[in-house]
Amino acid sequence: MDSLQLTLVIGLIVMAIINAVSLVWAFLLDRKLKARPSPKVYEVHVDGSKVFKDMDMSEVEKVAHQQLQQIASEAAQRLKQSLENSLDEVSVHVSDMANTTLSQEFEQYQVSLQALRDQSIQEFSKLQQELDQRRVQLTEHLDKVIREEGEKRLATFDARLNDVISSYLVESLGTQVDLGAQSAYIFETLQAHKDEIKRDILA
Amino acid sequence: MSVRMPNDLYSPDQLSAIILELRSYLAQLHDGAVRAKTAHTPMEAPATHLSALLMGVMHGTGITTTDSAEAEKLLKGLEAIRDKAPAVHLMMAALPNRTLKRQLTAWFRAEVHPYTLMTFAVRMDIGGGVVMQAGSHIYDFSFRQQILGNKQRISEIFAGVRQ
Repeated sequence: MDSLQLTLVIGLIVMAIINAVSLVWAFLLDRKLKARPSPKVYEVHVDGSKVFKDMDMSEVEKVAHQQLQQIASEAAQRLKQSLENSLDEVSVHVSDMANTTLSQEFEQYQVSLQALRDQSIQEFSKLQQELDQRRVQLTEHLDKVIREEGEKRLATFDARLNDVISSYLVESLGTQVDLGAQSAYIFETLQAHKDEIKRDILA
Repeated sequence: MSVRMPNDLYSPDQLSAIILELRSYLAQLHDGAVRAKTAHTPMEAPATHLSALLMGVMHGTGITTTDSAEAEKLLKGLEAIRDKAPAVHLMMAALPNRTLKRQLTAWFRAEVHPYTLMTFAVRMDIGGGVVMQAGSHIYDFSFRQQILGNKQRISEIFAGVRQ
């Protein structure tokens, strides 16, 4: 048997001794409590229906009924008064709210709405200006394109027409040539280009 | 020697022909001179008939047909002209007559160079006017070129009519 097992055995023995001492102490306390005197209880029974007579009972009920009605009426009156006061206060409060808070809010709303309206007007004005400028630019561009296209087509037509007419004229010149009639033109042309011809020939 | 060429003498071919003719004539003159010297007789002019062109050149230059020394100078002058004179080639819608050739030659010799030589050719597609080649440059003064070069005037005229 090693030291661990010895230690555990000793621990178990100590625990058993403690439990035994505790049981004995509890048994002694229980005996002391049972030895104390217990308090006495007295039972009393009263029959209410036999305190008053029958005639008094009806009178009491009547009076109680009247008092109950009076109390209920007064309570209703106070409730009514309270409700009216509350309504007046609520009305006043609502009126105050309407006169102060709502009017302020409304004024702020109007200011905001006016600012929004002004901003919208400015934006729309700017947009309108941009649209006008764009429209003018587009119109000018379109006019320019149309004008250029027209000029281009007219130039093409003129070129074709010139080709046709010049070709017709060249073909119409034919072979029946009178050089005598052309001599004036020939000498006039030679004279007009005399300097160039002279320069080329002498070069 | 200052050679004067008539306006009828305008082409290099004509000039070459009269050079040959003049050279032959000079040979005959030389033969005649040798014969006259051998026979102790006066020299006579050769019986050869000279062309009108050569006669025109000789008369224009102021030499006689029997003066062989002057004729030699004329030959050298003509050969120099043939080698150095400027040539102009003219193309026309029809072949010009002699009068027009003379007029053209006279104009070139008066305005451009006194020994200008000219050749003429026909180009029927030009319609009229003249196409001239001078040196390496070609001047197109033909009706065809005038019409094609100014065809934009047609549209201008149409534009004027439209307005």
